Amino acid sequence: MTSEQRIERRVEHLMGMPVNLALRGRFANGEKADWAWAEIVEFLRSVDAVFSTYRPDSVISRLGRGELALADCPSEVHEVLELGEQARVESDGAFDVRRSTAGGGIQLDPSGVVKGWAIQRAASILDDLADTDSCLSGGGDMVCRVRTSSSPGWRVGIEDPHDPTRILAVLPVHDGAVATSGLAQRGAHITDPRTGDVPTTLASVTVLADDLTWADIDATAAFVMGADAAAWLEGRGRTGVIVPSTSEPVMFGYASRSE
Amino acid sequence: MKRISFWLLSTISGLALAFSYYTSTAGSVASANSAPVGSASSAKVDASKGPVTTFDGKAVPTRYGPVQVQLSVQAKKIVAVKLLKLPTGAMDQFIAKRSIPTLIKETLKSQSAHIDIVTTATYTSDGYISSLQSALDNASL
Repeated sequence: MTSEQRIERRVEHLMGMPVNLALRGRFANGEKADWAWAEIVEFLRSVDAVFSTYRPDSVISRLGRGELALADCPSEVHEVLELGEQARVESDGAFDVRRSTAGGGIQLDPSGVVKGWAIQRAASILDDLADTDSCLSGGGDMVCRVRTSSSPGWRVGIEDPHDPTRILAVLPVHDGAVATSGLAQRGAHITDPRTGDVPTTLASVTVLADDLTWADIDATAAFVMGADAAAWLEGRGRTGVIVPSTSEPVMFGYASRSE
Repeated sequence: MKRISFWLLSTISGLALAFSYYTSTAGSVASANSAPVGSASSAKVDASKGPVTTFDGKAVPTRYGPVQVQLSVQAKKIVAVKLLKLPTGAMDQFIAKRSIPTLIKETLKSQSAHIDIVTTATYTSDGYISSLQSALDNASL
């Protein structure tokens, strides 16, 4: 029974968050798994060198200070900024990689795009592990894949933002991405780019999508939207759970769905 | 092919019921919040289920200092999580009191619900998670 198969786990600190890889199946351990993990780690380190807003020498920091022209940036920077712009337009400004600073300037912070985008890209390295289920997660967001026959899928627990000792729901995910946005773990790190305020209507938003880039962007945008989050996410065909600050959790999208 | 196939297993309230069952059978876990920092958070250990083996995670440096955890495993189940090393200082006490016991409970609880992974707002307790993960790796669960 595949559900009893052993899960092999690896972890590394990358891009300021713990990145975990869980594998089960044919190449869950051994040389191939080691190789894939090394590739993932190397890729995420390279992403950090380009995009980290904490590193003064990163491409994005130099671009932000005007020391580097956009035209001279690597193609990944263009791709991420285009995703950020698409997200801004589609969310009516609830998501934005540019924000006003106290001094009246504009700060460039594409972190909200980069995390999901990078984990999604890194997960493609796992395509080389045939007959192996994988779940690659970074700081609570993940890309799940199932490649073994009769696999039960990955069981993803949605944490209760009001009580992190509780799990609100379990999502068995076969192929797809799950992202959660909220203030529970890191404090006030999300602000409304339009006002600079910290959103208070919702405690957390969990979004399931095909791709972690958009699961993560949509979760963040919806968290900022507050009361309008469920309608917006449903309109985008997403599924997941919204936990309001003062009322009961609500599921949006399909409460149950199979292919 | 990128198709999502999933089922929300049950309604949220149904799951809440399932978890309240767990809580009622693991009283010592529920009290972990008030436990002094560094003490073990343990579920009931039944000696008849075989020997308890401990596995140490590697000490992980964090910006607040080193964090290291120890798992006690019995019959391939985690029965206790203990903090071997914690940073000292005011900020660290805050972190230790707030995040770490919470995460311990989560570990025990997640296991009981057969959860492979938890989705949550971005973590800060990097050292703890890393150390916990390495202890899990050592225990080969």
